[in-house]
Parts: sequence; structure tokens; C-alpha cells
Amino acid sequence: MKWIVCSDRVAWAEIGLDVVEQPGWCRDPVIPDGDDLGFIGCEEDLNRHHFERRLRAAGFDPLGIPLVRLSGVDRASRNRVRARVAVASARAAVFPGSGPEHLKPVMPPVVSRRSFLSFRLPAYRTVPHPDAAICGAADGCRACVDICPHGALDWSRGAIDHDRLACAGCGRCITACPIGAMVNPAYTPAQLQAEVVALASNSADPFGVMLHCARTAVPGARLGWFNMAVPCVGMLPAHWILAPLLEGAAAVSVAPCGCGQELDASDRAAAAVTGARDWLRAAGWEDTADRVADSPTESLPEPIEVDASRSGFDPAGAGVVAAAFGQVVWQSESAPMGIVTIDDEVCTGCEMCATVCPSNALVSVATEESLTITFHPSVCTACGQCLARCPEAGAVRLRRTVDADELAVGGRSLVVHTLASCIRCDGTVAPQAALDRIAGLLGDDATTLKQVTLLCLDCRGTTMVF
Amino acid sequence: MSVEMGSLTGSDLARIRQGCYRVLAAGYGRPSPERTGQIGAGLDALEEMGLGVFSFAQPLRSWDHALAAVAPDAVATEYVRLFGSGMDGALCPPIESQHLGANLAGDPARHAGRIEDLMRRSGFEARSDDRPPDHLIVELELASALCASEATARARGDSGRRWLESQQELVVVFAMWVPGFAGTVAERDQSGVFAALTAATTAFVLHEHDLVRVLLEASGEDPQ
Repeated sequence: MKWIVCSDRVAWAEIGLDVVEQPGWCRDPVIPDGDDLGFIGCEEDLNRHHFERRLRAAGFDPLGIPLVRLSGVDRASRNRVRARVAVASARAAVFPGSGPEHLKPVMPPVVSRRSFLSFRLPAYRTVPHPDAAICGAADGCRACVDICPHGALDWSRGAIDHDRLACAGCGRCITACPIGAMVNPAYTPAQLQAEVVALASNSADPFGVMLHCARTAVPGARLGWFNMAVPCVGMLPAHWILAPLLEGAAAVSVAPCGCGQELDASDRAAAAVTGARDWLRAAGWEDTADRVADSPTESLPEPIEVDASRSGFDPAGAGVVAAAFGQVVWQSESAPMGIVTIDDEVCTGCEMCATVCPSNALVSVATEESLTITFHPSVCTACGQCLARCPEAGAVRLRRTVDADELAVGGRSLVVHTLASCIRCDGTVAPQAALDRIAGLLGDDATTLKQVTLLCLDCRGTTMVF
Repeated sequence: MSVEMGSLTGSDLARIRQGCYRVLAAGYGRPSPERTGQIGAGLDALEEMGLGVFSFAQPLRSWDHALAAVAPDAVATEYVRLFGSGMDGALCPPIESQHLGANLAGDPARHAGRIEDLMRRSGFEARSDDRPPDHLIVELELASALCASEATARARGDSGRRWLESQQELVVVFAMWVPGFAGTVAERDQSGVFAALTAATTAFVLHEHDLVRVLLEASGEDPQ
């Protein structure tokens, strides 16, 4: 893998990379044509948009080319430089590819007396976009629409309409989507996981991870700490803050949001940090302020020893963290898991909750005689879509909690409805509870009531009941 | 052209967009060695104009490479299979009303009427009755003509807002149906040429959908 490097202040031969040294390259990056170019190393603060245009003109997808900025990195530390390169490499290895739907053009007019006559060359910002192949919008899920603070997402005819120009790329929809359908190819959970794994495998000493907004200036990294960009710290749920700890990071810190575009981002990040500490404390760690630090600390604790089956950044990452932490009971409004219960006195068996549930935590199973709605707590992300879409007030309840006891119980049936049979063909009409609800609404219209409640859909058009 | 200086004039920008619409429209015409040559020359000219700085450049290049890699006969056969005869259930006509009829709750005449009305208001008319007005070639050619008018207006010192508003009427609907059409073609195309063509068209029209709004905002008034 070949790297173009412009810094002559790094002993590249000792780093062990295949490099082409081009001092000053950062100021005017010339990107060679062809597909054999692998990776690029860079030291100076280059003009990112200019650099991306060069890459694009040379036929590369700028998002897929690793770029290592050595500014702010101790160049004398071979391990640190090697770790940075490894991170960039790892990100590129899991780059999912980007499409036109992920790019928002930014093309400001040149400010002058005749400003409408010229424009700056286009720059592009990546924004999340729903992957239609797995998006649950057709089933009624609006988790991303509900969370978007910019009104960039709308639910229309069973699909998500995305207004790229209105989208600020804050990333809240990414972590709100229970199945990972919202994808920003510059910041996928797989890339974040790959970064942490690369750091762990290239760091002999304990290291910390500082999560920071990609839109703000990169904070200076303290010895032993590595910066990791996310679209905005306001998007972070508690399990994303804890995810690096599962892969060998000794501590995590969340930098303040400084972009000013997300007014409540700092409050949201602070709530997530508090939640992460509470979760850690419930799991038995007392040094939570060191593990989830307010700012990068001088000394780092030893990494926690837990076994994680998968990535904590996954859409169902809260379950991964919960499984890794073992016997924990933590109840909080910021808990990224939940326990759903259904009041069988109110539920009519319409199945809306099971239909809309994106993560299949709620599932309805019908037999000839009954309809059962079951709940699987290990995959519930507490997205609240069941609660929001249930037409019967008070039928569904959601308790936001990470509860090892509940997880140990596993799947359970929440409600069982008897299915009424058609008086003509003996086929299924509907759950008796739903028919009772209809009877309450159509009490004065006996003929229609009988027609609707005694006959199945097939027989209703051919038979009259008086 | 001042691409190397980090900016380009509104007129040049409109010319690049005009060229992209024309080249893409040519891609949906009946394939022939002459047409393939014209497409290649058109893309070369666009590269010289600064196409490379736009995000849709790479899909256009991929289409050019696909076109060069497949024998002309095979391209012509696949063209007929996809857009003509529909053998083996491959029919996927590049016609707006075939893809949007159900969503807009309208009949083909409504879509055709919308395009004819836009043409009339813009001072254009179709020179051939071979294709319905909502055929993708006709719509792309119309968009190209609107960009040419914008370029001329900008060269005279005008903001070109009138032409941008007309373009927006087209690109909003393009963004509604072209990605779905491209997905269908990608599933059915056996040559790879038309999958690449529709992918390039999608990349371009989605970019246009956003860019026209940006240009309208830059022209001083909020777009509708």
C-alpha cells in the first residue's frame, strides 16, 4: 500500500510504510491518475475541498481515500504516527461507498458587486440518507423523522423524503434508527469500530478516545489520547460512548460541541455522558469519571476486561454493551434499551406495534384461534415507535432500562387475543377485542355491526346478515 | 473559464450543465457507432470545461468506460430489449408517466401536458412526434435548452432566474422518478452500459435537484 507523504520531519523508513516523499505536496496536491494509488499521508492544513476536487478529477471517491493529518501529532513518536496511519487504513477498508444521495453541494456565490455572475467551485458535505433496502418507513417507522431537528426528513407515502439542503448532517437520525438504515458513508458505525480496533492493535500502552464534532476544529490531542470524529456529539447515545471501552480503550471523553448549529447538542451530549457513567457504575466500576472523563486526563486507567461479541457502535450495540457488562440493572430516560408491556384490557390486537417495530422486538404470531404479540428485550432499542403509532391510548407502555434480569428472561408473550370466526365460512374475522371496540363505536347501527363483526372479509361482499 | 482559479462564472456553469443534459439525452437515443463517438467527444469537451470538480463526473466517466467496453451490436441489442421490445420481461421505457403515474394519481396525458406546457412557456417546441413529451430524451433536451438560455442570459449580465425556475419544474420531477427507473434498469440490463447510463443520470439529476435550488437562492429570492 503506497502513501504519498509531504512531511520530511518523520523518519518514514523507521515507520515501516511504503511511501513516496513529495515535500510541499500539501500546498498543491497533484493526484496521479489510475487505480493503483492506495493511501495518502499529509501533514499541513491543506484545503480539504481543494484536495477533494483534485481527487475527484483524478477519478477517486474522496471519501474512500484515507487522509492522515499529522498536524497536532507528535511526529517523533513512531507508534503514534503508525497508529494514525493504521486508523486511516482501517477506515478505508470498511468504506461502504457513497452515492449522489449522500452528497450535498455547497456552492456559494463569489462575493462581489456582481455576485450572481460567478460561483466558487463546488464543495460537498456528506449527509445521511436512508438505505431503502432495509428502511422500515413502509411499515410506518418514523424514528428518523421524529428526531430530526432540522425538518430535513419527512415521511411520505411510506418512504422517507430527504431534503439534503435542509440537512445539517448532525447524525441524530443515524443513532435514532434502530436498524442502521440511515447511512452517512463518512461516519458509519463500522468505520468507528474499525478506528478503535486499529488503535487498540497499534497501542502498546493504555489509550483514550476523545469523541468530537467533525465540524469543529480538532482539539489538541493529549499524550495517550486519540481524537475520533463523529458528525456531532449531540448524536451520541450512551452505548456509543462506552463502545470504545469494549475494544480496549482505557477511557473516553466527549469534547464540547462548538459548531453552534445544534443548540441542544451540548445538553444532549452531557446527558449521554451522565448516562454512560451511570451505566458503568451500575455495572460495578467506581472510577466512572476516569473512564468517561470530562476532558483528556494525564494518566489513564488500565483498560476494562470485558468480552464483546460484536461492535457497540452497531444499531443494536446497546444490547452488545449490556451483554458485555453482565448483571446490570440501570433504569434511565437515556437508556438505549427498553421493556415494552401491553395492557390487554386496552389493546385491540390491531398489530400496529408489531408491524412498525423496526428491530422486530415486537412480533405478532397468528394461529387459527388466537393472535399473540411477543416481545424480545435483547433487540429492543427503546425507539418508541410502538408507543407513538399505537392507536389506543395507554395500551403500550415502554420502560427505558437496561435490565439483565429481563434480558435473562428472554422473549415473552405480552398479550394473547382470541380470534373471532366467520359465521359463514369459519375463517378468521379479527381479534375479538377489536370487534368489541368496533361494537362500542357502531352500537346504534346493528346491521352494519353484524356485517362487520360476524363475517370475514371474503364473505362480506357476498352475504348479508340481518 | 476560471476553474483553476477556484471559481467559475454562472454562464460557464450553465454551459457545463447544458452539455451534461445533452450528452445524457444522446445516451438514450438508438445506439450507433456515430452516436457513441459523439458521446465520447461530448464528455471530452465537458472534461475540458471542468466537469471533474463535480460529484457526478465519476458516474459519467463510468458510463463512458462501459460504452467503450461493450461491442456496438451488443449495446444496440440491449437497447431494444430494454427500451423497445421488452423481450424476457426487460421492458423499462424511459418515460416519466410509466414510472410516476400511480404516485401522482394522473394519467400519461397529465405528464405529457405538463412538459408541453413548460415547453410552450419557455418558447420551445418539440421538432419530432416520434416520442411522447414525457420521454426522458425530450425532457433532458428541454432541460439542456433551458440551461443554454440561462447561460445566454447570464452572459448578458442577467441572473437567469426565469430559466432556473423553469429548470426547477423539471428537476424536481426528475428526482422523483429517475432513481427508481435507474434501479429497474440496473436489475434488467445485461450489458452494463444502460445501468451505467441511468446511474450517471441519477447522479446528475439529484445534483441538479439541489444545485438549482442553491442557484435560485443565490439569485436573490427564496425558491418556491
